[in-house]
Amino acid sequence: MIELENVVRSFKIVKRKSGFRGTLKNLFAPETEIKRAVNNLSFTIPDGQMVGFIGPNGAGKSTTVKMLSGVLYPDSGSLRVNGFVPHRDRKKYVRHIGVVFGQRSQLWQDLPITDSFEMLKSIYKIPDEIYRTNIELFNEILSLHTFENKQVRQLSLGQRMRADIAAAFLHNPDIIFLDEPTIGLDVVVKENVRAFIKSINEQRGCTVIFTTHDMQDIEKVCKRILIIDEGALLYDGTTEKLRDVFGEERVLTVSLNEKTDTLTACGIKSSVDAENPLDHIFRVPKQIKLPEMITEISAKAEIADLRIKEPEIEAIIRRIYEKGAADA
Amino acid sequence: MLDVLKSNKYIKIMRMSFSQSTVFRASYFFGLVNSIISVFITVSIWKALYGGAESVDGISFSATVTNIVFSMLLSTAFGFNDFAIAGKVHSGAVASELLKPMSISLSNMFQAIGSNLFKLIGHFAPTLIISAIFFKLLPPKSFAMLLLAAVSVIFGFCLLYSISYIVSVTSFWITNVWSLSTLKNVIIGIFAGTMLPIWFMPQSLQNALRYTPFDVIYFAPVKIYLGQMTVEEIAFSFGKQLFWLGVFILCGALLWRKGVKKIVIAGG
Repeated sequence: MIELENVVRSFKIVKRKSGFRGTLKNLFAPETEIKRAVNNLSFTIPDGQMVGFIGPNGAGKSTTVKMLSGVLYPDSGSLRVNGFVPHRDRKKYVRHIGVVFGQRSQLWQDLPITDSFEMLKSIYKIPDEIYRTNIELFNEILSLHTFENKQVRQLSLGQRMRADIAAAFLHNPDIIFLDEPTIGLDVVVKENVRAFIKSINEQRGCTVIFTTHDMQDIEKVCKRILIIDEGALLYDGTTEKLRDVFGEERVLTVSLNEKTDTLTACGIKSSVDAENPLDHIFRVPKQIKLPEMITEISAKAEIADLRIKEPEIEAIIRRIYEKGAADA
Repeated sequence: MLDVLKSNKYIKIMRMSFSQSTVFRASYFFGLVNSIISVFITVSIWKALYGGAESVDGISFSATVTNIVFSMLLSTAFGFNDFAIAGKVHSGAVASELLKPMSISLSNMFQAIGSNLFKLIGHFAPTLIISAIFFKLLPPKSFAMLLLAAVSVIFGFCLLYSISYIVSVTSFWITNVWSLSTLKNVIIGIFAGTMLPIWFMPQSLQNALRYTPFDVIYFAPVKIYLGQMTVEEIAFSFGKQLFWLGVFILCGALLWRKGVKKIVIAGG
C-alpha cells in the first residue's frame, strides 16, 4: 500500500548570469529561484497493482519516484509505503523495494554482472535457494547468460538495462519502481522487458510503478495510469476510462463506389479525402452510435469499404499535456 | 565465523575495493617510484641539514630519518579520496547507494580500508624495505613497542579517515570540495609532522599541539616505535586518539544527517 498525502518538494535553482557584472553577482549575491517539482500530490496505490506514471518532461515523475524510494526528502506532506516512511526508515525500507533508474545504472561499473549479483546477494542477504531460482528465471526471460561475464561498462544499453532490471528484482521486492526502464531500447528488448515485468507481477503479486514516455508500455503493461504535470495530478484511472473521457472522436473513413459531394449522416458532415476522392472522412463524437451512422450513409450511397480508427492513447495524452486535464 | 565474515556486505566491499586497486598497473608502478624518489630527496635534505653531526637538539640523525621515512610512507599509504562522496553527489550516483540497505558511511569506510590495505602491502611495505636497505633506520625498541606502535597507527588511520569523512560530507553544501580538501591536507601535513618532525618545532607550538589530534596521527606511532614514550604516555596517547575519534565521528554523523536532506538529484 502506497499512500501520498499533499506531498511537496521544491528545488532551489541558482540563476546564473553572464557577463562580468553577472559573474560578480553570481559570486557574492546569487539570485535563486524556488521551483516546485512536486506540488501537493496525493494518491493511493493498493498492493499488487501495476501503475503507469506518466507526464511530460520535468513534470515531477522522477522526483516523486525518488521520494517514494527514500532517496529524496519531501519538504512537507506525508509518504507511507507498506507502513514505512521511506526517507526516514531508508535502511530498513529499501530492503523491500527494487528500483531501476533507466538513465543510471546501479550496478558496479568495473565488475562483471555475475559479481554484481553476488554483491547484491550479500547486501540484501538473499538466501542461496531464492538467489538460484531467481537467476534461473531471469536468465530464461532476459537471457542474461549471453553477457554475464562482461564488465558492466562494456555492456550495450539493452544488455545493461536487462541486467539492471534483473538486479532490481533479485531480492524479491514487494514494490518495484521503474523509472523509464524502456528508454533507448529496441523493439525486441522492449517487448522482453515488458513481458518480464508482467510475468513477475502475475507470479509474485508485487506492486509495480512504471514511469515512461512510451505509450505502448502503458497500453501493454499498466491497468491504471496516473498523469501528472507541474507536480500535480491531472488524471487517475484506467486506460479505458481515459479513452472514454478524453477520447473525443473516432475517425470513420468510408470508401464509396462513386464520387459524390460531401455527405451528411447523423448531423455530421464528411470531408472528402483530397488524394483519394472516393474516401469520405467522418469525425464521430463519442455520443453518436456508429451502426446508426453507417446505415444512414449506406442509404445515401453505395459503400465499398470502411475503416474505423479508435482514438490513440498517445494522441489523447498529447492533448492533455498541451491543455491540462480540465480543458482536454 | 569465517563464513559470516566472508559473506558480510562490508567485507565484500572492502575486498572489491582491494582488488580494484590492482587494475591500474602503470599508476601503481609510477606511484612506487615516486615515493622512493621523494624519500631519497627528503633524507638527503636532512643529511645536509645535519651536516655530519650525530645529533641536533638532542635528536639523533637516525631517529630523524626513521621518523621522516615512517611518517612520509604512512602518509602516502593512507590516502583517502575526499572526493568520493562529492563525486557521487555531483553525478547523482549517490542515489543508487541510498537505494541499498546499507550505511553509506560504512560502505565508504570499507572501500577506503580496502584500497589502503592494498597500498600498505603494495606500497608501504616495498618502499620501507628499500629505505631500510639504503638508510640506517632504527629498529623498534622492543617487540611489544612494535605492536603498540601498530595499534597507534591503526587509530591514526581512523582519525585521518574521520577527518576526511567530514570534508567529504561537506560536499552536500559545496559541491566542489577540492579547496577544503587541499587546506585539510596542508594543515595535517604541517601539524602532524610529516614535513618537519614535531621535535624541531618551537616549544610553544609543541605545547599547543598537545591539545590537538595532530600529534597522534603519525608522530605518536613513531615515538612509540622508537621507545620514546613511557607506558603512561602511551596510554594517554591512545586515550587522546579515541577522544578525538569520538569527536570527529560525532561531527561527521551530524553533518551527514543534515546533509542527506539536501540531496538534489536532477534528471532521470
